[in-house]
Amino acid sequence: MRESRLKLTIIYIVLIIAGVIALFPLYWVITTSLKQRVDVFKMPPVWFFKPTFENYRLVLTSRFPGYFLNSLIISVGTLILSLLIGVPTAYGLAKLKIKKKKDILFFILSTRMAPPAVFIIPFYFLWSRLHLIDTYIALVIMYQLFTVSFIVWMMTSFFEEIPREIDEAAWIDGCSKWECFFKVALPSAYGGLVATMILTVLLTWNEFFYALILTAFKTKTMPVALPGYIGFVRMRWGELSAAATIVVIPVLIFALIVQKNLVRGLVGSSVKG
Amino acid sequence: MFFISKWIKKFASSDYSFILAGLIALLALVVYPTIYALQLSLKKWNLTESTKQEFVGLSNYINILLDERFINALTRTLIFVLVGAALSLVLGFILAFLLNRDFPGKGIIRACLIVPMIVTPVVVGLVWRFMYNAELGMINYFLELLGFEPFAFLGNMNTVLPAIIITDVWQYTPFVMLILLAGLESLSPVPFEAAKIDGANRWQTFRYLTLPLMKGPILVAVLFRIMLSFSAFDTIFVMTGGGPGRASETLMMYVYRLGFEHWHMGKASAVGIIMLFILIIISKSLINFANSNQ
Amino acid sequence: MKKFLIVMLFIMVVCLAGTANAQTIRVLLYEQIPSYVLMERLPEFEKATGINVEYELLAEAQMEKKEMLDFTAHTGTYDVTNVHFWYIPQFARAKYIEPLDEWIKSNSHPEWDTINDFVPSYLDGMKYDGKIYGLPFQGIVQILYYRKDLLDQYNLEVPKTMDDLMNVARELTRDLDGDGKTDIYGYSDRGSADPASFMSPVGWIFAWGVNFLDEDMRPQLDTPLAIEAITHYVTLLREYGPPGQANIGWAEAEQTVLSGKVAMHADTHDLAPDMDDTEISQVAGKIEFAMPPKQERYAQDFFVSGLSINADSKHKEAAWLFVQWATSTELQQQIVETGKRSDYTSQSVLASDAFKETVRASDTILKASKVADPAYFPRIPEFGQLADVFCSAVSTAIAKGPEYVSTLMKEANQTITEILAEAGYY
Repeated sequence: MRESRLKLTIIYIVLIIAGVIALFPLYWVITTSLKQRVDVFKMPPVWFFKPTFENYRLVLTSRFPGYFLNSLIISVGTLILSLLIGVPTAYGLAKLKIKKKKDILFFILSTRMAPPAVFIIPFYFLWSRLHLIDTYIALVIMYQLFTVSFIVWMMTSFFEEIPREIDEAAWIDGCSKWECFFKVALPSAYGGLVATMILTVLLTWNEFFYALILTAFKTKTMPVALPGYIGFVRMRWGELSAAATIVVIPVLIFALIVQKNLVRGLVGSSVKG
Repeated sequence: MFFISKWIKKFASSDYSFILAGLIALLALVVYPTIYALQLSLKKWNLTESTKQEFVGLSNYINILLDERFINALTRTLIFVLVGAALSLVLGFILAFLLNRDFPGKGIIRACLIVPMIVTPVVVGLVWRFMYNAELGMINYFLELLGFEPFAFLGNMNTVLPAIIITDVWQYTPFVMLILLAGLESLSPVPFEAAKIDGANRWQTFRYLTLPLMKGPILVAVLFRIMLSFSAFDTIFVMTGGGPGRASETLMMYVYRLGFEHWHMGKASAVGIIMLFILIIISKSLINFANSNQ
Repeated sequence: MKKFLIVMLFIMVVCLAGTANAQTIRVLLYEQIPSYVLMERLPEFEKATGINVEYELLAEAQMEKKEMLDFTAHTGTYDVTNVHFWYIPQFARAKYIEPLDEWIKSNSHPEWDTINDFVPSYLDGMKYDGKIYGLPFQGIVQILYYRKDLLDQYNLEVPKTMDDLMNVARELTRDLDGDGKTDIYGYSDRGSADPASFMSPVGWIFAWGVNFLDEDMRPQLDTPLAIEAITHYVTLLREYGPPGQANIGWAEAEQTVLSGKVAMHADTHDLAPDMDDTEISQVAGKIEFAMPPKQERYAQDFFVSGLSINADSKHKEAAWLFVQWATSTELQQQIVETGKRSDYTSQSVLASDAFKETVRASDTILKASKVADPAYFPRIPEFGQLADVFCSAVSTAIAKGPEYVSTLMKEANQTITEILAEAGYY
């Protein structure tokens, strides 16, 4: 589809404005992380300044890299586990004859509705009795409550969009249900899968409440560490900004990598094959 | 032995094998705390007196429902959640439409647009708090450049709720946008080409073709956006702490205060159950609405 | 002399350590400079006692939740935790923390025994029902920060009473460059609705001679003096404070002073080093210190936090050694020479030359420590709810105006009475 020049330009302008609005606070955070302390709150704001890497040095030589690793392990672990659980469930609900589908879907949705502040107490008691406080496993399992419902609902709607004809063609070709799932359904819903993966990571990467309660010395994650920079006496803005910037980068990279493999529309992949 | 393996084979090829893992996992995770929270909501329990739990029946619920503070939190939350979701839906759709085409730099722009969701909520709250600050904040700086008086958005009881809604919309519109975009991109062009041939204009195509086809993603986006908003805590806590006064105290903040500052876990559990109930009503209504419009 | 004592100590402790096996204790502290300084010196403790220390640092609010959950579940995860003075009564009552009187009597190490050297009011903050439940780790008093250059410029005296404060604040709220906008404000303080702002207005009514709760545990917010106190507070902040005061917490208030926007601020004394820190302060060297304003009594912001032993700890002896060491005069003396802290709890340290030399506000701090009084704060388990109601009312008053103070205080008083009645106080 060829767009008119004018139309494209307008689109670019709007998107760039949106981009600036989206990025501005991050820009503020990044520049703050590079500023000397006095410059941070100068009004009018200091647009050009001498950068310093002191804040990054302080953050990287503290315990922070350990927290980064913990966040990484937990988020990746959660992503893998919830995809394994959630995607087949979505396929089953979308394509196969399952009784009471609507009720099951609603039940799954309702697991997301539990307010963490209330559920944390029984979970805290449970995990501490099992001596699993401060382990990766505890948090990865807990986070399924956030992620599985989302994955199921997302992928169900994307699987449902795959036209019946494609499924039927595959079944007629003689593949078993699981084979169809892997060879036909997944590739056709790839676009939805990518969006789902990015958003699932986001759901757990910045989670604070459960992480605070269930981690301690060994598994503390980055979101729990960040408020620590808001000290009692002085807010360590520089280090906070440096740490916050470090938090953002991995997810950005993940998003960029994963969406590069995006295939536009299902027409391309499935009809040909 | 033989029977078991045959049974396993039959099971593996049945439809239910797909959903079993998911259902078992969720049931296991959800049953225990829900029952615990339910029974706790019928008791009076102050965490600083850990062994004293007193059964009080429904009095927690009655006290809460009659409490002005609860009504205030409920109203604030409903406004916050519903207005925020509506704004996100509109903005998200616009952005998704704009991005639904190939052009150079698309990947980068899309990555930029999801940044608000990536920044940790605590940091988002802090940054926006300072942006709104009357003396030191960026927003007022630009307002002054344009000739307006600086204004303390977060210190005024009437503007604080709109202010946090704007921050919430900024934070979570990318969520909606990404889902809608994925939905748009997976639409087959066939019906659209047919519509064009039939002479349908832009609006007609949107209303009668796009919307119904996008029903699934829209529903997912709205439902989960609402739930994200409903449980939004860190950001608001850091920006206003529920103030000034109680002007920005949402249900989530109220529950937190009750349970973790006043240590009234029984009452907090009751509010939690009420919140669960409210969410169920809202989502059921939305689902029914979406399904009836077909 | 010092070396000899250290050697004696070492020998004593080694003997003691011989009876206790090499253990590990876990310590929970909150993120702040005194904690970092303490952690830096851990190797000394570990070498002297053979005890291994694992520590976790969390933001203050988070630390409180974590320790509370640990106590409630009786998991004994942490052996030693930071406990603020307002939590002592409830934790002590619930038997979450260990009473220390016995330990002080029979297990005290001469070199680390500071029990008679703690500032008495600081130690009082750690007591419940006459028994000691923690040793004071840090003590912070309220002082008044003011811009000497501005007071000199306009020929103003350092405010001593509440009326003085209002007058000076009025004088210092000015449009300096004639562009029609106020460039400098007279006074800033905590006005936000969250409970972290509690200390300031509570200390204000204390200044008027009113205790938040009287001996019968009845709230006194609707008394004429309390209303007068809060009206003063609200007027001061509305008229002479920066815009948005109803949402300003301690951090922003400090920031307004550091960036030169506000001339005076009464708050915890540990902000003093920030004032002169050229990395963050634009008014370095221009700030001086004075006693907080006095009406009938001095206003208070007093805060003491101590180290307590978890009643469920499995290593109480080792924990006790740590607690004593961390709060000892000896350790404080070593630290004061580095100038990294100013919130010592030992009287001899506060009066020492080293303190005078390393902390500019030393005189004021010493004076203020003598009038510090934990009684300004209602140290009952329900204080969280009281703070919630009170701060919300004060914040609303700041947003709406001093005309509303009377109504808001009466409502708050009523609510608090109901809360306490429900909690069984009357």
